[in-house]
Amino acid sequence: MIKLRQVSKFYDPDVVALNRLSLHITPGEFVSIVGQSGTGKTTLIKLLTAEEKADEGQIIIGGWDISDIHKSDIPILRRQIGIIFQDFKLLPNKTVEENVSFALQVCGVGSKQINSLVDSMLKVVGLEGKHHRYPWQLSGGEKQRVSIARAMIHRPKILFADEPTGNLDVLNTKEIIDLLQKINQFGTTVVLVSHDREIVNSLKKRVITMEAGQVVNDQKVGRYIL
Amino acid sequence: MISFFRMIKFAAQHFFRNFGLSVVSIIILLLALISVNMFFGFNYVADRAIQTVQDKIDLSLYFYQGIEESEIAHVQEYLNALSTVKSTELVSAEQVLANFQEKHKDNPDMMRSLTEVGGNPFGAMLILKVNSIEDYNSVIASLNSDVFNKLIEKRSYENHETAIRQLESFSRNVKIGLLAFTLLFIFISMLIVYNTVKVMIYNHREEIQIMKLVGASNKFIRWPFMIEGMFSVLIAVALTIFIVYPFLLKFIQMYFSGLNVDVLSYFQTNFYLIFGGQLLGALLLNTFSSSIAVGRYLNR
Repeated sequence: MIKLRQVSKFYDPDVVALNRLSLHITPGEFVSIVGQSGTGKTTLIKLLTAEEKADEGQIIIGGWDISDIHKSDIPILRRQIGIIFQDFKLLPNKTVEENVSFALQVCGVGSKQINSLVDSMLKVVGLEGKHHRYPWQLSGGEKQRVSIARAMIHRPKILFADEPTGNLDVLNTKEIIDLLQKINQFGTTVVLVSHDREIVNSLKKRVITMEAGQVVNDQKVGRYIL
Repeated sequence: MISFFRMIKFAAQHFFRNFGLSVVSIIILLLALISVNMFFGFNYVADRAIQTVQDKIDLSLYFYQGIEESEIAHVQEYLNALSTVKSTELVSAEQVLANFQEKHKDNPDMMRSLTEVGGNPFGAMLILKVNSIEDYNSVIASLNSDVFNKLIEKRSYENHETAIRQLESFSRNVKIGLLAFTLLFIFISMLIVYNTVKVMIYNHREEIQIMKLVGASNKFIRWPFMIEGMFSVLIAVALTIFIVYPFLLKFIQMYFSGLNVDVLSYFQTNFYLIFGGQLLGALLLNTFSSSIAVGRYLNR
């Protein structure tokens, strides 16, 4: 599903974000990527979502080599994956419904189908009746649910979550992690980048530990070790 | 087709949900367009003012006494055939005398002198007007031959030559000055509009990044901004017409009521050219600016 072979990324000749990193994630896995700040976790997510390009190595997602992806193909890639962020990245002038449906509108899906999909997705993430609220009218937890609904509306096979609970309180954090587990149970591969030791330990899933742009530890049922 | 309608819908949503910014954008466009129209108006008034002064200048040819009317008619025919000559008017010797008597009827010395000379001391006169002030020289030159010198005793142009030359130079300078000012003003307006659009798009740079992350194509992101800009232009041009006609043009008309100018009719005659040109220009400028400004964030 996701393969990285000897991938390197340099920001300056002497700033190495990723150093010959190799990784293999199989379909349906729930993988936590942990490590201290500046170890290359976010850079890894940026390469996987084609926000940036690798300087060396090969990145394959679902059989598609995106190492040298053309600009015009990036939207096509992003329509096949889901991404959620610590700062939610919701469109401020769009309602909950519009934020979620946007991901389908860009794919050219018909309005009727969008309405029914959005309704059911908002039910899944527990945002029934909040269709017409704007992001500023929502709590942090609700915003992250909208973000998850938007990321999952087109039923991607992979969900990348970059510190999704970084801005949330304990209760909301637990709810969001439960939601991610539920998504994983339905067969979606989840790649979670997190700093939260308790969350990672409670998951009892695969943990990849990064240091200086390299994988230093990779355990099937791992713990947060730093 | 679905995408096209969605882009229009997004543009409309964006326009109304950022109404404050939309209003600012419209006001900037409106001010630029009103200024351009004021320039058009004043340009026309200045042009007409010069034309009015030009119309008041004519060239009088005084013929020798006793020259046959057929010979004068010959000269008149020759002048009328010149493309530079706008009109000619023949005043007979009798009429010249009558005009003189009427003009000096309260001046006993003049009237006495006329009686002493006896008969009609005047020859016939030909008054001519040219199309443009620059044409006087060529007309004068064409009359400067032995054939005409035998008939024409005096040319009034010789008395006004300095004034005509000054007016000619003034007219040329005013036209160049107005053209330069108009171009400069249009250029400044373009810069202001371009920068306004840039600032508007800058405010939406994060939204553009989010749209990209969600999988929107560049076209799907770029066009709603461009269409939104078109809404602003359409409203600004409509408001310009609404403001320029009833208020500004009437004001200019009132201010220059002494001159033979009809600014309203000038704008009415050239309505499609003036406002159509502004609409097209503003649309192109706005679309171009939006495209460039959005492109800056799309390529990041």
